[in-house]
Amino acid sequence: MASLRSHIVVDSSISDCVSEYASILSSLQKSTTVEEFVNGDDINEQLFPEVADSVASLGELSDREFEPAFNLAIYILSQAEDSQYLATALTSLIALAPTSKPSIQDKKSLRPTTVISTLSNIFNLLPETSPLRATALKAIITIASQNKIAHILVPLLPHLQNWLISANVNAAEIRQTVFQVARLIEVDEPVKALDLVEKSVTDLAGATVADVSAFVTYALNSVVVDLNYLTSIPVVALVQSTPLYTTLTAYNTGDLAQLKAADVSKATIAKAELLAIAKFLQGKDVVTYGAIAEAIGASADDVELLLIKAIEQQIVLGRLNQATESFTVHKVSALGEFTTEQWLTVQAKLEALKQNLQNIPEIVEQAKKKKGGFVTAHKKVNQRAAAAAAAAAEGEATEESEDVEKFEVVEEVAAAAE
Amino acid sequence: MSQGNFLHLVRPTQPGPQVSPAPLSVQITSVAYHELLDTCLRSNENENNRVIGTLCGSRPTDGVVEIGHAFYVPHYEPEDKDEISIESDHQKLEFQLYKKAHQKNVVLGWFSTTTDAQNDISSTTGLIHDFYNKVSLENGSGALAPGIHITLNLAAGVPQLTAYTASTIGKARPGNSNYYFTPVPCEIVYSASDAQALSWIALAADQDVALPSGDVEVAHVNANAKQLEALVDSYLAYVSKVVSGEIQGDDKLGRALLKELSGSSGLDSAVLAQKFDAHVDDLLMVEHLCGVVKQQLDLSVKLSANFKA
Repeated sequence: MASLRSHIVVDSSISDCVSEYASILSSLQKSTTVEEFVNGDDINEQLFPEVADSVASLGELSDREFEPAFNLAIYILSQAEDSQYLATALTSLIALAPTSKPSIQDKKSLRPTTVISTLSNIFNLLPETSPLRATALKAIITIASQNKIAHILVPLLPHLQNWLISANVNAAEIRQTVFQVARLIEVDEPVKALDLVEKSVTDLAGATVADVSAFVTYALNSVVVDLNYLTSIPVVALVQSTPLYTTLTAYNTGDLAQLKAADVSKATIAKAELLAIAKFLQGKDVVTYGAIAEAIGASADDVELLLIKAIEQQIVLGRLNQATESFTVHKVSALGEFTTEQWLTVQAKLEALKQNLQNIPEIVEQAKKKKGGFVTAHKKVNQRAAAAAAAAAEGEATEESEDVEKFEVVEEVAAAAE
Repeated sequence: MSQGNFLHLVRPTQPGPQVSPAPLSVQITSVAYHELLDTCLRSNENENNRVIGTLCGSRPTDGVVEIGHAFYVPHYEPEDKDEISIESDHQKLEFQLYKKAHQKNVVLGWFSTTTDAQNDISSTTGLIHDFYNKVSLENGSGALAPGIHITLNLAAGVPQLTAYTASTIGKARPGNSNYYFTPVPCEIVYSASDAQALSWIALAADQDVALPSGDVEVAHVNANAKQLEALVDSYLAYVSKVVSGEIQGDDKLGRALLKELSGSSGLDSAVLAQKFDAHVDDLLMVEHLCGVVKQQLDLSVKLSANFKA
C-alpha cells in the first residue's frame, strides 16, 4: 500500500493561518495576541503556547465549526518542534468532550462524534511511537463509553493492542484498556471481544494469576459457549490449582451439578445447559423433550426454550415439534474436545465431497446430452407440425391426416423427453 | 474491511447537512478499477505530472461509497506555480453523458495518479478537492457523504490505491482549499463472473490462451470443480496426517471443517443430478410451449390471410 497516513494540505501562508485563527477567537469575543508572534514566514516560539492555551475556547463554537477550527490549531501547533503544545491541546480537547449525547434538535452543542473525529485527526498525525497516541486512544474509548456509542470502536479492535505497544504503553495498562474495550463491545461482537482479551493475556509478556483469572472469568461469563480450547492455552496453566480452573473443567465436561454448587453466574449455568444439550444431541436424529430433560437434569417444561436458545446461538440446527414434544436434529456444532473420531468423520466427509466434485463434469455432460437430444427431436417435430399447420390453412389436409400429424407430434416429443 | 495504520471511526465534519457520523469505506467496482488503470497508461502521455479524473457511482448508503465509473478530466498544472486549471466543461459534459445512462448516480469525488512514493498528496490537491466538493454539492451527493479522493501511486510499478476523505481546515468560506486528508478503508469488489474473466486474462499474461470451444460456462464449472477438488485434496492430506498421529490437529480448524461439511449435501451427486434434470425439464417445457405458441400464431396468420383472400 502507498503511505497510509493523514496529510494536511494548506494553501495559505502560516501568517494567514494565524490571522484566520485569531479571527475565529475574536468571533468568540476572546482577546488574543497570537498575530503578534508571526511576521511573514517568521514564527516566534511564543506563538505555540498561546495557541495551545487558547484551544479550550473553541468549545464555544457550534458543532459544525468546531472540527475545522481545531484542525487549524493542530496545523499551527504542528509547526512547533516540541510536541508538548500538541499535548496541551489534546488535554483541552479531551476536557471539551460531552459526557452525554445532545438531542437531535440541538444543532449547536458539541457532539461526541465530532470530538472523536478530531481526536482521530491528531492520532493519525502523530508518529507511531508517540505516547500521545495512547492518550488519544484512551480518550476515544472513554468518550464512546460515556456516550453509549461503543459500537463505533469495532474497527479499532484489530489494531488496538499493537498501537498501544508501539506507543510504549506497559503490558498491565494495555490489558486494562483491552478489558475495558472488550466489556464495551461484547454485546455487539462477543467473539471478537473474547479474542481481544485472549490475545492480551497470551501475546503480552508478564501475565499474572490475576490477569489469567480475569480472562477465564470473562470467558465463562461471555456468550461464547465452547470454551474447551481454554485449557490448551499454556498461560491458563497458571490458574490450574485454583477453584476457578475446577469450575472451568466442570463447565467443559458438562458437570452441571458441580457448576451449580460453585459460585458462578446464571449466564454461565445457562451456557453449560446449552453445551450439555449439544453434546447429548451429537449423532441423534429425533429426540423427545423428556429424554433431553433427563440427560441434562432440567425440567421438561424448560427444554423447548433451551432448544430455541441453542438454535439462536447456532449450536444446533433442527425442527421442533410441539405436538409430539420432540426435536428433529439436522446439524450439531462440534463442541468440547475434538477427538480422533471426529477427525475421522471430517476425513470421510472430505472424501465424499471429493467424489461428488469428480462427478460434476459427468452430471453436467448428461444434462447437456439430454437437452441437446430433445432440442433436435423437437425441431423436427416443430417443422413437421408447421408444415401440417400450413397445409391445414391451405385447406389441403383432411381431418384424418391432421389427427395423424398430431399423434406423431405427441409421440416424438414424449420419446425425446424419455 | 481492511484498515491500515490509521484510525477512522467516524466521518469528519462536512459542509452541508450531516446525515450520519458512520465511518466511510470505499468500494471500487472492477469496471471502475479498469477505467482507473486505463488512465495510468495515459500518465506518460500527459504533459502534467499526473492524470486526474472524476469518480461517479450510486448515492452512498451506510457509509459505503461504491465507485462504479471513473473518467479522465484534462487539466493544466504548471510545475513552477501552485495553481491549476481544470477543463470543467469537459467534466460537466462527460458526467451529463454518463448521467443519461445512470440517472440516479452522482459525482462522488475524484482521483489522481502520482509517482511520489512517499507523498501521494500534493500542495494543489486541496484546490482540486475544493472544486470537486462544489461539484458534489451541486448534484446533491455532497450532502450524503464528504467527497472521496483516490490516489493511484505508480511509483512501485503496480498501481497502489489509497482512498481519502477530507475535513476542512479553518473557517468555511468560498475558496478555502485547506484540507485535512485522512485515509479510509478501500477495496476492489467484483462479481464471480468478473473474477472468472479476470482469471482468464491473468492466464494470458504468460501464455497464449484461447477460450474453450463450445459451452464456455460449462468449461468454467468444470474448471472451478477441479480447483475445489485441489483444495479438498490439500485438506485431506492434512487430516490424514492428523488421523495417523503424524501431527497434532488444530481443533479450531477441525470444528470449522465439520461445521461446513455438515451443510454441503447440496453437492451430493444424486441430489445434483436430480436438480440438473429438473432444471433441464423446466427449460425444455418452456421451449416446447414457446414452439406451440409460435405454431398457433403462424396458423392464425395464415388462416386470417386465407379468409381475407
